[in-house]
Amino acid sequence: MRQRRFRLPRLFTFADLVLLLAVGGASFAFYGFRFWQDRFGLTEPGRLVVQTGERVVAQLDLSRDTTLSVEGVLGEVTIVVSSHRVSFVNAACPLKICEKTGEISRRGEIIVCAPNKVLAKIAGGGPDDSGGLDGISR
Amino acid sequence: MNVTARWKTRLILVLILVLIAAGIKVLGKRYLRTGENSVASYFFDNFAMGTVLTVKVRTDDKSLAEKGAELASAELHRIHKIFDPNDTESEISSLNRSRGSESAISVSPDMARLLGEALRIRNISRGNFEPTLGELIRLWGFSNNSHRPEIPDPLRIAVLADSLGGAGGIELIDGASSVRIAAQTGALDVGGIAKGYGVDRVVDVLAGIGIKNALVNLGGEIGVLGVGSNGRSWRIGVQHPRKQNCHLGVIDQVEGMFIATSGDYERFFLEKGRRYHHILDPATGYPAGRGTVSVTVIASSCLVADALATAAFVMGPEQGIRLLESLGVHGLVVYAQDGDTESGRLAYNATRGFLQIMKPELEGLPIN
Repeated sequence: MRQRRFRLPRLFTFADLVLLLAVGGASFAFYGFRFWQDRFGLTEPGRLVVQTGERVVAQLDLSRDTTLSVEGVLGEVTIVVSSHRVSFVNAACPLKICEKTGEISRRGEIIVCAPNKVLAKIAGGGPDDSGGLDGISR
Repeated sequence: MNVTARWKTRLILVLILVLIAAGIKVLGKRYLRTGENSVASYFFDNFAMGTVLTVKVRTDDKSLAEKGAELASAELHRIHKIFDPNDTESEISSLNRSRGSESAISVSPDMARLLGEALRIRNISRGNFEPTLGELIRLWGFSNNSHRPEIPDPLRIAVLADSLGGAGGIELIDGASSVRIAAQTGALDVGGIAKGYGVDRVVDVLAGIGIKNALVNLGGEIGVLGVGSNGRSWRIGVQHPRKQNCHLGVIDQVEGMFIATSGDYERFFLEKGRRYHHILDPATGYPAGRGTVSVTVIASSCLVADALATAAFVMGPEQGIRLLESLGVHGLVVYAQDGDTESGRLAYNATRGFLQIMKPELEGLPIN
């Protein structure tokens, strides 16, 4: 008995199929990657922008643990970057509100020592804002 | 290949392409912020009024966002110059110097509006919100950024609390365009509610130049316009009063509303295990002590939300909520069940309207 072989129709050749899969796959891979970037904020590495008043005095890579002392209006403020999280310690201010703020780790979050006019803000990397929040009423 | 098979093949090909295109379109629309959701957000931070102003503007027009941020800072700088009690050149300092004068002095529209609201809320809160505690605030030192506050001489506190009359000595004349202040009236210090007024003004300024979607956050006092990222409502967390990096819940039905929180957890110091915070009870001259830990108010103006949060804090969890309920504003009072604000178990009272917006989680929800 003669075996019937499956044959692609002339209009839909093997090359058509490869091309189709390649285009479709590439499109999905591209948009999937873009989605992944957008979802997890990987468009650029996270960095910490440190300001005294309106002047940017340092930009730190959040992937590197480091300690930075900044001279504020009243005295020194120490900024600690550890495991992508940022906190203020030993701030020369009377109420230590900045230290009570705790840690920040997401894009858009800030810690401020208002009496010293020192501000640290996370730019780049990480999802939008703190836990999906646009602001904290405090 | 016969004609039917060829057409079948073409149909399959077209269907596959349509499916791929549709998949890309759906994914793109859902996740890649196309169309309505593709509007960019711009963030600006600046020091203003002794704290930090954060302005988030959602627009495709970057120059409009930058202009908004610039105008916002300028507006707050202008307001600060009017209401800063530590600036001898400020309008409020001039008003305080005019105490006891026979003649009324004319005031700016900003002063007229703020004073009018402050006196209104003082009256409806039966003096639990009091804008004339200047001497007491200075005595406690909470507004002094360079020195750690300490417990003042109790005699001094008693003398000031007893001898200085409240805002009853303030007379608004000609629709508040001028003001006369009696001699024994305490010094006006509206530092707290001036920030709320600042948020109101900045929101007005942003709306005035055509910005439709923005969030203004001045040291935790918040006003919003329109909607936020991805076209959803702005999402505002309420700070947990005892846990860093935690919030009590999310307020996200805030279009056109303003949120202010007064708490004992930022401006305070501990002395022999007792917490002394910056919200003073006008009746005693001491930090308000009815077990309240924090109050959050949602109102149609930040100035009002701010003043009512302070009033409710002083009044305590029962009376405070009754006041807010009677005024039709949404509010949450967190308090220590046994009155021990250091180690006591927290509880809350809330207006019915507030609970429809947010269910507080006293265990705390992580911010990060």
